[in-house]
Order: sequence, then C-alpha cells, then structure tokens
Amino acid sequence: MSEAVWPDATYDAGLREGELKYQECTACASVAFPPRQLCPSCSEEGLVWKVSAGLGVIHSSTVVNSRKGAYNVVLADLDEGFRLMSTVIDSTEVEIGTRVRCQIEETDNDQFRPVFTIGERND
Amino acid sequence: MTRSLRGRASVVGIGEVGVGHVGGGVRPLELLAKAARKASADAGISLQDVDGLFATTAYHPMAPMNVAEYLGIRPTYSDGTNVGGSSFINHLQHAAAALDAGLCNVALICYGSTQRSDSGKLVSSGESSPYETPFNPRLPVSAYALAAARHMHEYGTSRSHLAEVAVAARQWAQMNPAATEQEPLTLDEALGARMVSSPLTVRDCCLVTDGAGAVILTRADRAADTRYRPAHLLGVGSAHWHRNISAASTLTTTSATDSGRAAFTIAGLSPADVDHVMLYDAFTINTILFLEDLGFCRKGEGGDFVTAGRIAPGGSLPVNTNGGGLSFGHPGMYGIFLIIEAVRQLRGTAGRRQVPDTNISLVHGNGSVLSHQSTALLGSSAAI
Repeated sequence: MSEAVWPDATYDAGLREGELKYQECTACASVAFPPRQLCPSCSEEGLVWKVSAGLGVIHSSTVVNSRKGAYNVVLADLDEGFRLMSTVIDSTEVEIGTRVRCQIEETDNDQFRPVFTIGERND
Repeated sequence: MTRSLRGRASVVGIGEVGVGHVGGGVRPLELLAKAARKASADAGISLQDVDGLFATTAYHPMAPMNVAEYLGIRPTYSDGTNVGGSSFINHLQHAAAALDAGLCNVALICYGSTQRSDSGKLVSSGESSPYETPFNPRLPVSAYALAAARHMHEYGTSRSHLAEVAVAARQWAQMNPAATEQEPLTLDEALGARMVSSPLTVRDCCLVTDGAGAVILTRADRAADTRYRPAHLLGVGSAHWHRNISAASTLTTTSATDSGRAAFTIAGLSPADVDHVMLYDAFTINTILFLEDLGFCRKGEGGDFVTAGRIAPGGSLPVNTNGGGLSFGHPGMYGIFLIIEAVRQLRGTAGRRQVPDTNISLVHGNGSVLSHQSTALLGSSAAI
C-alpha cells in the first residue's frame, strides 16, 4: 500500500487545511465518498485525492426540533459528483434544490466539519 | 439452477407477549422465552425439539447462545444475523433453506425487548458514522425524514398522505385488543402533532414499546400434523444497498424492489394475487415507499394510493391489520410481529379485524435506515 496514512486521517487533515477532499478512481474514473481504499464501483485500489470546489445543491433536508432549538440536517450533492451529510448554517429551513457553498467550521471539541451557506459566493 | 423454496417450509406456531409496557425488573430474555413457549404450545411442538435457532436482539451480540442456554436446548443449526428490524423475515429465508436442506427439523425464530421499560428510548447498537454524527441527525427518524422530504419533492407526496397512513394504522389498532394505542386519531390531529424531524411528526413515528415474539417452522410435509392450519412460505427474498442514509444511492426507491421481485418470482405470484399486506411501518413514509417498491402501485403514486382509506379497515387493500409499528407496538425491532399477524389472518383467527378469505399474505421487513429489505409471501393450503 502506497498510502502512509489511512483515508479518514487524510480527509481530516484536509478539513484542518480548509479543504473538502474526496476521491476519484484512476481505474474507472468514478468518484468516491466517504474516503476508503477500495473503489466502490470497480473494487480497484486506485483512488486518488481531489479537492472539491465546494459548490453543490441540496438533495434533501430536514429540520430537527431539539431541546436546544431547531437545526437542519441536509444531504448535499457536490458538483464533482459525491454526496455528503451536512448542515446549512445561515438558514433553518432549506429547500431542496438550493445552491450551496461549503466552508470548513471548527467545532467546540476541536474537530472540523464541512458546513454550507446558501448561494455561490462568500458575501 | 437453484431448487425453489416455494411451499417447502411452513409456519406452524406463533407467540406474542408483553407488547406495550411490562414495567421494570423484567429481562428481555424472559419475555423472549415466554413468546417462544407460547409459539411452542401453539404449534403443539415441544421447545426441546427445536434444533434450528434464529435469534437476534439489541442486548445480546451472540443472541442464539443466550436463548439456547435459557431454554435449555441444544441446537445444531443457529443464525444470529442482525440486519435490523427486517432480521426475522430474513431469518424466514434462512430457516426455510436450512429446513429444506435437512440441516434442521424444527426452526424457532424469536425476539424480545424491554426497551420501553428500560429507558423509554430506542435501544440501538450505538454504532455511528463519523461522516454523519458531526451534524447531529436524530437517528433513525432524521434518515426517514430525509427520504420523506425527497419523496415529497419528486412526486408531490404531501404530509396529508403521510397522515393517512397513521390514521389507517390507528383504525386497525382499534380492532386489535393487544394494540398499544387505542384512542381515535383524526387526520387533523396527525397533521397537527408535534414535529420531530420535518416533515415527520410524532404521529409519523412508530411507538417505543416492550414486546417479544416467536414463530416455529417445520418442513411443509410435517406441518399437516400441527394444531392450527399451517401458513406455507410461498416465496422469500432479501436485499440491501446501503448502511448509512448518506450513502443511499436514492432516497425514494428502496431495495424492496429486489427483495419483492425475488419473493414474487419464487412464489409465482404478482401483487394482484395478494389478499393481505404487512409492511414494516417504522415511519409513515415506509408504507408509501414499500407499496410502490413492491408493485402495489407505480413509483410516486403511493401517496394517492393510501388516500380515502384504501389501506384502512373497509378499504380495498388491508395493510398492517394489527395496527402496525405506528399503533400496535414497536419494541426496537418489529419484524417478527409482521409474520405473526399474517399467520393469524391466514388461519382466520384475527378476531374483529379478520380479513375475509385471506389466502395469500405479503410480509415485508425493513432494517436500519431503509437499509435492509426482506419480503415473504405466506399462503394457506388453498394457495399451494
């Protein structure tokens, strides 16, 4: 194995650098997320890292009512062709089909997570 | 070419205990054992004759050994496969194959939980995905909410359609003395209920109850000697496409398409042949998704299909006649109770809620977050 660190660690290191990483297969050109060593499309070991431009669209959305208040959980489809669970931080209700942009956020417990804001620009 | 499992094995005993709230001090294994004892008495077969054991619970990672030790039996074929709430329909498939291959002669499938008395919360495996937990989805409900929201977006399904499912389940429950929820429920009450994870309200979510269930199977040739009319396994299939909802390739079609096709093919039947349907309704969207994926209506038409009481008492397709996970009970994993109700209907012993002339019943189990699907077709002797 050529990889010195495991895929989860490479992904987390990317987040710390402000990058949302995903993988692409050199054997079949499929896109993979979450990170792994075998391509889920062709089972080859040829996955290489890419950095997402962070632009995507909301595939589905739910607002969770908790004691600490309401917040959304979304599934976002990134333009590069992968989907991830996340949250949109500048609105509680988020319509399916909304264009969103990714930013990396540090959480209370010194972790980093990819979150989204509505629209294409940082303004 | 595999040999068809059609008509090879039969459910000959059923037992159900403690659905609701049993109170503190009862171990899940005690409830499970009582259900097994009830199924054994129902079949007229001693538990000591069980040589094939199929068990899984949220409490016992090696459940078949806990169960066998408690019951004092020495099985020679055991299966603890845990694929979530559909496990017990999945076990039907495995039990039928094992019986047909001569690997066992009397198969016991069993489950028990005291999750309501323990904490009032779902007892789950505790497994979580590092790619989901940072966003605090309330699982499992948020996963189903994401599926429901997408189904509404793609097909115009409405919250009223979801509420129709909850109301139909409650109407059936009111005809089942063993059901946990007996109070009337109107569409407006369901629509106005507390929102948990939009678009799903508390009335769109299954109950949290205690309960245990067990069924006993033998080869069909032995089934003629048992106490009640046997329910023959006509076909069965299982499939799964994902574990986590964020990895689902689609939120609006489930692998019930594959499990259903396999079951119908083995049985040589189509949805039009089915008299009675049991669908794993952990959430109201499930009923709509599975009606579509199993071929009772076209994709996207499930919402319209359930309106105007079509699946309620008096409707053209009786669905979830025990009251379902929504109103009968849901002790963490509910699949075993689907089989039990189907067998009652096929025997003609379902009391006030008996569906007349039931000869073919479809039982469909769902596991985890729309992850695992198992479908079985059960039939009376007239259906063989």
